[in-house]
Amino acid sequence: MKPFLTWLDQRTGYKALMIESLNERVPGGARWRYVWGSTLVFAFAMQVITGLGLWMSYSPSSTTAWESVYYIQHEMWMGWLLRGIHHFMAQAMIVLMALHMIQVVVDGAYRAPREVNFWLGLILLQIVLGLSLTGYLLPWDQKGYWATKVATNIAGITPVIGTEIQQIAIGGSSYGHHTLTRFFMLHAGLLPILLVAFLAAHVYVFRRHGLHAPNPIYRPDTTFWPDQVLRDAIACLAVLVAVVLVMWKLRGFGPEGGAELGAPANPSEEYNAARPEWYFLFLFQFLKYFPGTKEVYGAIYIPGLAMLALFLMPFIGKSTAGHRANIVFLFGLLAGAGFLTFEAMKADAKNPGYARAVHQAELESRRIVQLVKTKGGIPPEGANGLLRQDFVVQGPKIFARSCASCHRYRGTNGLGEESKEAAVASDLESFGTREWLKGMITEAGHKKYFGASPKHKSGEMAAWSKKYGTKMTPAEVSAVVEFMMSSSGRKDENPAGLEFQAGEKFFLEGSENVPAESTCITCHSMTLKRYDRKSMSKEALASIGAERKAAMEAWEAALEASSGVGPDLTEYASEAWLRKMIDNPGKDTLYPETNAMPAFEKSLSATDKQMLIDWLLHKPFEGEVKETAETVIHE
Amino acid sequence: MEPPRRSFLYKAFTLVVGAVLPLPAIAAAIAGLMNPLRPVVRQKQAPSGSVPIGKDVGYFATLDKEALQRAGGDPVRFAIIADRKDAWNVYPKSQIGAVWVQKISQSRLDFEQNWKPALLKSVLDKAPTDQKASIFEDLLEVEFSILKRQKEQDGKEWMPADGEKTRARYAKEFSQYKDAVDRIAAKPVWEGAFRVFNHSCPHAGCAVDFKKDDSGKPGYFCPCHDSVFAADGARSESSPSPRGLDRLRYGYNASQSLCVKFQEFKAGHAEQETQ
Repeated sequence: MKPFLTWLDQRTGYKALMIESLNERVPGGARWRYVWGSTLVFAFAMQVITGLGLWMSYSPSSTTAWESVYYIQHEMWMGWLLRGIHHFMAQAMIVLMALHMIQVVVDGAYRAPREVNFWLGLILLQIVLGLSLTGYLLPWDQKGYWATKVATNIAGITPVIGTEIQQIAIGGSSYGHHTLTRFFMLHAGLLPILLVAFLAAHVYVFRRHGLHAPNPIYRPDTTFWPDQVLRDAIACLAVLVAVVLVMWKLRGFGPEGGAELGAPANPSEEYNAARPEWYFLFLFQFLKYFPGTKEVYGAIYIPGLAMLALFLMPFIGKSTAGHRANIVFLFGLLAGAGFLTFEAMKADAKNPGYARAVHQAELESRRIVQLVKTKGGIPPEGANGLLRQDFVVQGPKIFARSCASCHRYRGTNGLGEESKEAAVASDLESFGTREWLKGMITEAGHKKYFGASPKHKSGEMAAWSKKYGTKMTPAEVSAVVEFMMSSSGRKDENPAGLEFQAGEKFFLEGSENVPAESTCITCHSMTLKRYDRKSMSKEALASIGAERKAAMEAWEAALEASSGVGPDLTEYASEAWLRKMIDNPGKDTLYPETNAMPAFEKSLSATDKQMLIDWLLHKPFEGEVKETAETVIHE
Repeated sequence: MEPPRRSFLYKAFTLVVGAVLPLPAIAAAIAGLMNPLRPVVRQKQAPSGSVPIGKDVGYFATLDKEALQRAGGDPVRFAIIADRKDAWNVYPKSQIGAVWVQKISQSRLDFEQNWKPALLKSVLDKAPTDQKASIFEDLLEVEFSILKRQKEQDGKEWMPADGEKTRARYAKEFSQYKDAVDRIAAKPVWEGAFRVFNHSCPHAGCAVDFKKDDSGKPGYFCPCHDSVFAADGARSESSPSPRGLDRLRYGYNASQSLCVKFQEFKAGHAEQETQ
């Protein structure tokens, strides 16, 4: 080995380079406070490695960006770890930069002759912030999309060149393919190249002036290798452990953990939880204090002035008083940012709308993963189409839009928002289930059923329920419920029990507690397939036994005598019945006189109507991950 | 070793050659970077599938009147659907934006839909005496907005002189309500039967939500930086938004359907500038 190394050294001079770099003098001995620069280099190296790993599978376009990140996160071998490290190390870099800067300023390491190196460091700070801003968009999820929209709109108010900057950044006047390709070029190309170049200059100038020791007689001088290198290495290890721990603690390991991936960006689906990454929250909050045209002060002038003050630190710090002023200024800046961050978080914590938006975003991001897994992949148009046609996500939104001005769903508008106004129609959460049927019989006047509606509250059903429903025995109630279930054939409930026959009898004849002239069929008509001559063939009719024939005739006679003032209960609460109700509730066979609901036949599209119905009827989800999804949706 | 002494021209020529070498590559790359600023790229094409109203150009989208009817007086959010172009793709029938539409009152709507030149007078004749003044002022604004819209639908611009002429004419015709005519004429915006706003917050582009505040006062609210707008779109004093919500023009097509002219404006500026 040795002869080879000697041969190599004679041709390259690498030994001298190694000695030169490792034998750097450390005045006053190795110290922990010098480790920050090295941890930053380490963090950047991690970002390069994981970034290259991500690059292998990432595809920047508005129909492939989210989709490829989904693949990395959920299907690629250890992809979640790759993303997780990249995401959390980026945040660690911000913290490390703050620590590095505090150390440099407190130790006065920015003073002559190290001014230029201090400025190089400030430029590096800007580059790293630029990297995190551009990286936030690349997954093209709702969060990244809306945060970037806000950020670029703010760039657009820069005096004179704002509009042009904005258009160059987003690649036109609207957000799409070119926004991604451009941000990706910045994130993976231009900014890293600049960072390497400025980092090289930073290290070179640092070596030229040597380490600035605040206390050169702290301990005897030593060399960089191995005393300081050991401390640096341990610090880097600590950073790595911290990053992994934070990832584990906040998000967990595995494809469901690591870095977050929201629902795919959808320009038409407003996202009420749009917030920047936590280290930009202070700027976000700051903007709230600048009304109207004064915004440019909050967004550009004041941050620009603060940056200028940082650049002037080497001159201000020439005197001891100036140096102290610099330290006070830096800590003031950090405290101010911390305060604003706290204020932003406090405002969001107090805002139920924000909590709902975050909840909805999480729900959609879990649901889309489930949909992709169920379908076995994403269609070439992108993942958004899957969400747009999903009744689990769209059902409550359609309900909120079209139904919630009168109806409620578990007391809310379907999306968890409680209205200030009282409902004027039923709460449809349990619509058509056994619970609902039982309630309609025994307490129809309750506000969950007819009690909320001014017309139905004092209507016949509420009155009947009060007079007779409350007198029915539990066995009678459950028999009628099973009878109704046998007619609706609802798939979200267990099949009807055998008591349905007793229920049919009650429906027709009443019981000891409910006289025949007040039983169900006296108001409600109901066609039963087994008694429906029209739907039977001649042969089938002829082969009917005497017993069934008698029952059939009794049913027909009762139907003939029925006043029909109540809605027709044929297949009540089935998909077909609900569709008729939504289309035209004022129809003869439904509520011709007491209806207060608009007809949605024309104003809801066929797909929207189907999604609303599927959701209201609790249609089971497809896919093997059904259980977990249901707990998510109904939590 | 002493560097060889060469003439000044020699050095200058080397520098020039060195400077020229990367130029083609840099120029081409900068051209690519600046591409979005080219007028052809910058100019937004009117989305396909619009319904023209009169000679007014731009994208008119038809709205569903039933949904408005259902909402009573509350604003309704409508998606604007058109073919969306994104660099090399066209996405047919995509949502390109959304608008909030609010019916101001049924009496205004009845007036607007049945409007003909002498309608105001006949409505006034039938009105109870004690309400005449308030009905006049309410409907005059609608009438002014109709006149202005009609001119715009002919592809002409409404000039200050038109306003003055109209004011003088009405002040003469309805001399007993001269003050009301002056008040309406002085309003910066004449509202008709509907208020139509682009749903993007003029601050930074988030979508605004319609809400009633704790005292029950309705208005629009932006979930990002807390801008607040009144129901007529005016910004509240403390809002970060530099201007009120962007009001859009509406009209009726040949089959009397409500149509809105969908436009987008630059965020962050006090003045409306089309994007």
